[in-house]
Amino acid sequence: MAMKTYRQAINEAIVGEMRRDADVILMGEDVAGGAGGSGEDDAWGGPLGVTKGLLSEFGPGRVLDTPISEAGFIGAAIGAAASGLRPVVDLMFNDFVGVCFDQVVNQAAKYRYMFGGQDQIPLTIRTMIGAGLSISSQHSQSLYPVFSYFAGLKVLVPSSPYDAKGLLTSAIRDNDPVIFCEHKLLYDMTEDVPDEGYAIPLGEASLLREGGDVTVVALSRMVHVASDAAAILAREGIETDLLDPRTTTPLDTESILESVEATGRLVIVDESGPRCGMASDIAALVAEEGFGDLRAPIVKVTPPHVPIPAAPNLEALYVPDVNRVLDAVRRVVAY
Amino acid sequence: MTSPLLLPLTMPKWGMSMTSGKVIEWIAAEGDHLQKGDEVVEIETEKSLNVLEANCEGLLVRRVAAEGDELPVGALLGVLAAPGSPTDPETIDTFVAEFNASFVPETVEGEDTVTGPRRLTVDGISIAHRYHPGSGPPGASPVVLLHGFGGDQEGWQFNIGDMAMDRPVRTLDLPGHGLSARVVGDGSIGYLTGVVSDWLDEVEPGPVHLVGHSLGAALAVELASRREFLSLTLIAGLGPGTAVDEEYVEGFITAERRRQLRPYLLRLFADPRLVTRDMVEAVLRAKRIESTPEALRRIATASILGVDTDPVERLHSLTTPVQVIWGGRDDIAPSSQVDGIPPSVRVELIAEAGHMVHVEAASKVNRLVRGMAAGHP
Repeated sequence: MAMKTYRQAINEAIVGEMRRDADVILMGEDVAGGAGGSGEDDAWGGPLGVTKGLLSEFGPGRVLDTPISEAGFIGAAIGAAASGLRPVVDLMFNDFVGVCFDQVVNQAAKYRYMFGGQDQIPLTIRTMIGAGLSISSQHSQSLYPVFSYFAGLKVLVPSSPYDAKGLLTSAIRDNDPVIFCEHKLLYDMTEDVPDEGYAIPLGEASLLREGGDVTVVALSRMVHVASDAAAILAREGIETDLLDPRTTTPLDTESILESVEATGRLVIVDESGPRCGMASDIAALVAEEGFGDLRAPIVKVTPPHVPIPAAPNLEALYVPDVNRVLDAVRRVVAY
Repeated sequence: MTSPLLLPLTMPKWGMSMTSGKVIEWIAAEGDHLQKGDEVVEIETEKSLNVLEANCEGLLVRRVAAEGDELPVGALLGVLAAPGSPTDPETIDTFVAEFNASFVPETVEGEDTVTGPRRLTVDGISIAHRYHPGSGPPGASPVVLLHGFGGDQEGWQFNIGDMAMDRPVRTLDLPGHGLSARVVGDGSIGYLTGVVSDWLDEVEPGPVHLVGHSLGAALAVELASRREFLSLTLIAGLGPGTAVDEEYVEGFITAERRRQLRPYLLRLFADPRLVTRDMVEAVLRAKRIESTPEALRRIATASILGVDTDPVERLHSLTTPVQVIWGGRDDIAPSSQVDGIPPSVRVELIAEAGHMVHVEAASKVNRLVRGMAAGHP
């Protein structure tokens, strides 16, 4: 066991699965980085260095740099998966899914169902989500609710290095297409991560804090915002059940409903938008199946329904922060 | 320390990975008269925010640490004066200066990380273990603690401190458990005992007191027939062949999720409040490590469920002084098994505790182990 970053944890999961299963291949824009050019062969390992070292261990036959065409290489990865490989493909920013939307939602997601289970798409799409780097509207969105809309896709939103390694391991071993959403502000977060391989089952929320006064459900980086808020609330005597669903499909509805049954209060903290987002989805779930347990209206803490600003001061206003979570929790507790 | 009546209030160690903590807010003011259990100062660790309570009665005469300070475990936070102690500033200044002059932050020797246990390769497999030198007299014979099935050495966290007041304490993670390798041979008591015995040859070849919980008790009895021990304390187990609830063992091995595992952990304790989120998460994380369920199953089959010997008979043949401690509300290994054990064996039934007696009734168990060790130097 050692302290590892989110970036290292992701790298370890890919290396572990590539060693374990010769059918696992890696492809995407610059996943090797610099291959075929002049200078050293193993250059960057992706724009943020996540796949560093893979080219030298597994060679260009299993670590493939692709042209800048999501429609092309995502389609190729789906085809490779349909014909027996287990590709891990890097869709650099999730915002670019528009370019290959048909491949992902009409082909990958529906393939197994439409062919009556005769074939499957064991594909993992790694992709970056999240605001915070001031890289503007088309590079900062959190589109996991969009992916979660489509039956046939599994969607993972790891919030920590430990979860990232265990969930990516499960993703690669899964026989269905999985969208693995990496929050770009988490790459340098560190925690104890086992050196050995391990898999976290999909569809199990992580309970980060056991309280009893209020249920806070948070996803991806918002887990840390909610966790900071919960520590402050504990000093005010408000004890939080903090749940991180970790996977939005499958969604651990039982853990959420069970917690709300005990607390009667729900706050959802989500970086995806306020309309048709995960916060709305979870609010609807509880309104439908846990209404009798509620002692206060559900409160959603999300960004506003606007494009994400590039200006740092405006972007900071856009993303939910600790104070907004504190206000929301105090409001439902005082109700 | 110049005055036995001035007491240091130090940075606590909450959990195995804690090496430092941040002083968030003083709750008690200088001049406050504190009772044992009163809240003194709020400390934030990497993982939690907690309040340090006074561990004895006294007057808070000095707040040494400032709010916002990040300090190593054991560092001086403040000074308490017991009733009758001098409280003049010079005496306290001297106390603080002397404490700080002699304070050395906890570090681990060798190549290991600061937070983790040490590692040793025994019989070709990596074993995680710890040594707590304690504050006993020089030359005091050590006590060695063997944890139970599915547990690890961190399970002794409520016992080590007390026991180390008299003598050094050694713990390890058994093969297939904790941070040790998931290599368990044929999973038999013979194999596990061999590893523990070879570990003892390496780290503690001299005479020691042995304490085992549950599966650890089975290993302790087997070890006692292979080498000399000063005393044996068997907790919630009598030795190889102790009756254990089969459904529990199977459920513990197969549970993959929090909601599946929790009911089994609840069965270990009489008091359900002891099954915390952190405990469930720690067990899940250990069980998720690849090949753990396979290793546990092999041990369960060969060492727990498939042993066809009478543990009571075995106790008759032991020459080592033995005591047995059992929880009256043990739902895993029924306490009725102590009926018929030889009168030379001291039996302590702790009525209100479950299978994890050493956690639920830690101070009683600690007192019994210390007494046993003191009686057989």
